[in-house]
Amino acid sequence: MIMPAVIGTIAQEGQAGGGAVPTSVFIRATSSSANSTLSAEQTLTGSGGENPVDEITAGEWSSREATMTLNYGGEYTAVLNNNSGRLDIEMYGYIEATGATSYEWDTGSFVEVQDTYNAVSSISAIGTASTNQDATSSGIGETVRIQHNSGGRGYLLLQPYIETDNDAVAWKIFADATNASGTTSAPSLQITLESQ
Amino acid sequence: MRWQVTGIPDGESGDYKIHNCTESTGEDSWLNYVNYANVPSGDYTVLYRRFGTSWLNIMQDTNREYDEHDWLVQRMSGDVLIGGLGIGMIHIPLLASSDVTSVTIVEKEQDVIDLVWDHCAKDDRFTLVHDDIHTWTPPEGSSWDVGWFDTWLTTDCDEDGNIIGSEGYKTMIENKYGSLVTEIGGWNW
Repeated sequence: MIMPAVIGTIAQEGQAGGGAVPTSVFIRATSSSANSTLSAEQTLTGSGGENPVDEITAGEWSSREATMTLNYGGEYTAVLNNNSGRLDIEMYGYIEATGATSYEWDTGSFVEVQDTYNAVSSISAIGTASTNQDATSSGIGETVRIQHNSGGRGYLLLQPYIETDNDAVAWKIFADATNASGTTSAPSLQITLESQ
Repeated sequence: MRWQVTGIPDGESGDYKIHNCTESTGEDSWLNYVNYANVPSGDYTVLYRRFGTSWLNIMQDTNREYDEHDWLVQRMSGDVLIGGLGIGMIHIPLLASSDVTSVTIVEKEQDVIDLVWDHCAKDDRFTLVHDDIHTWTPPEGSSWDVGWFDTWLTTDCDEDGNIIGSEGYKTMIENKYGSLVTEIGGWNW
């Protein structure tokens, strides 16, 4: 079994001589959380306030992965139609570290896990990554935008229950803690947005 | 290859609008479609439907639409029933076919009729019915050789809010018109 603290150490980057880089670097949902978690929500709504995506909270993580449920139905199309085919996911968290003087969030490793009808034209980060240790209220700066294709009779949809798997997209959240001696990266977290 | 629609002026009525545009002008949804469907440079007529504060392209005279109507093109003869007026694009080949006896078009939205009908290609073989294809009661004794149904949108849901999808739409149409139409087809079937 790999201990989290060991992962934090091996992720050290840019270590300079003389001092110690930050240690015990982890992404937490809050400053008092014990596990590698964060919270996330889809922020766009339909014209009637619809939101088809369930929030992720600290308790829904396992092995640094969490699944965000996209409820396939009228609320899904309502959001897309009212927002030019977009879903926007914002994430909130806290970078725990020992000996750090600056911090930076990042998102990446975007992947279309399964997309039966080529519904997603792009998944990317928009905005500027936060440098706040405490991003529990303001968010981590970068918003994950999932842009859907307009297929001629409406936006194409990520499908549930295609054979045995649901359509899904995924991405990772990264965090760095830095001091004069270098940077340590926290173990990344992965969110999978899954149509159900 | 495409059927280029001409003569329908820009306009807006209720939750619908017509925009004569190019591959690089128009609403976000159209520009997204241009990218998705690899629409080449040119002049296009696009029908939009408003959802909230955004406009969604729901019909356009593109090469892709030409391909998506291939089923109907192979069957243009006799009495033809069309579900959905759109921009009247399919009228162009129907009008050109001497094998077509009559064309009955059922359109639910008065706004679409107001924007398109007076300006689209047609002759005296064409008849417009203002009604919902799902609930319309055809005149007693009606029958058609070919039916083409193109009123489905990805947003369509049943009464419980469940998305019906094109398969659900196909089933509903076949159940309703199967006994009245010899050959039934539809967009994305």
